[in-house]
Amino acid sequence: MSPPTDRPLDDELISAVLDGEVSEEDRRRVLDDPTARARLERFRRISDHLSAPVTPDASARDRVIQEVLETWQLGEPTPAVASRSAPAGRSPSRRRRVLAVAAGVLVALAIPAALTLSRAGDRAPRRSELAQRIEPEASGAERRSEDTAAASGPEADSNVGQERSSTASSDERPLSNPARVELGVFADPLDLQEAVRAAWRTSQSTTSPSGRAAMGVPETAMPDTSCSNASAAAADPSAGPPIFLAAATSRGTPVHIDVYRSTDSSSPLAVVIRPSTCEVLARFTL
Amino acid sequence: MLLRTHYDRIHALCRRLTGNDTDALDATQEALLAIVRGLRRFDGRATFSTWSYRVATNACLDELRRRRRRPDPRLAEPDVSDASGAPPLDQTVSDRLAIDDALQRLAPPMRAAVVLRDVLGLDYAEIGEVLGVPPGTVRSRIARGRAALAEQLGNLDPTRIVPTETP
Repeated sequence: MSPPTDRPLDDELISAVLDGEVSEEDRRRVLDDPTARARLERFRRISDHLSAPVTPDASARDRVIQEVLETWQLGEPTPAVASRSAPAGRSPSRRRRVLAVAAGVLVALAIPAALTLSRAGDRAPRRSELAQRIEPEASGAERRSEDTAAASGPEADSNVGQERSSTASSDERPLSNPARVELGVFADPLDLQEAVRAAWRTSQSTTSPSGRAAMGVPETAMPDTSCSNASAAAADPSAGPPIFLAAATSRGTPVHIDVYRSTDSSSPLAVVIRPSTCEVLARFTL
Repeated sequence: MLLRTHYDRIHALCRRLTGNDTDALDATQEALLAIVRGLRRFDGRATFSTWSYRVATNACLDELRRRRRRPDPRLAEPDVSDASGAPPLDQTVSDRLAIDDALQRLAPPMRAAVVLRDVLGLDYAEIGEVLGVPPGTVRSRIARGRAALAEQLGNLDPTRIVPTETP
């Protein structure tokens, strides 16, 4: 370990003396050499500055730990190494991106709403005229159609179905099957959570649930699957049907997000499901 | 509880490795997430703290790699280095910034070795375990890192040690 005595003492030995990683003999050699000793003092000053305490901000600490736990509970199946390939630019712009997603959701909700309101305004007089003309017989006819359908089965119901589809325009979509709000693509589950919260808040602040259902919110290409049972079971069997539906792609995996009203008056609960397998990936409160 | 126990030291590690508060918070978050996700893979061959520092160091170095792909606003500032290559250290400039800046000029493996030694106080064997290199390499990296820092921070006032401020 010791260099030859006739060789100038090098930085490696001096640095190791500072760290107490040399023999007593080597340490003595360094301390006995004025040049090496000066160098040692210089290294010591650097080391002292580096070891100055880094005081963490308590609120930042709580926030980071909370976010870590939420992300972890989200239970993304991707191994930790995948987080290393997250896109560049995440750090300082996370909040901006979440805000951008929220703004996008707001725009996505607002544009169809404006179009729908505009079309509804155009159609309103005709609707009232039609209503005056057909209302007296409509209720009876509808009742008859339903009776026929029930008695004749699905084959005989094709005409009735066409009738219904022709009268039920897209803006009269039933509330029990509202479209999912497409939130976009996320590399970080934490961003997905933020986007769901933002979309939920936006949906609550912009319109009532019935109005939202009539707004023609953007739909995903993914149809609703038979995952509703798994989703409801993951929430609370007594929570009733979902009150908000969203879809996204999280780390390359298409996911559905079903939001349920809390049965104990606390925050609504979001359930993240992989629609292809009905696997519940995570739950979190809004 | 586990995260709270280790947060401060991992944050300190990430703060020194990344050189700024924003990246440090992101790196710390990534590091803690990697730790909780990797708990099942922790086999007990190393101490938990050594293992967690290894995970955290990798997370911080990854954050640095990501950051390199982003424009660094400091690059737009004029270069104030003198002819010798070492920047004149104006005492009105915070020592903290000088340290951070000097550290960022070190190659990441060298920086990691120096930070693990001087910030976390690990010995050469532990640092070697964290970085996956022999203790001799650690010794060499630390020495070269300190030499480079000494050159850059030549006039650093030894009486002024400024703790890193909160973000």
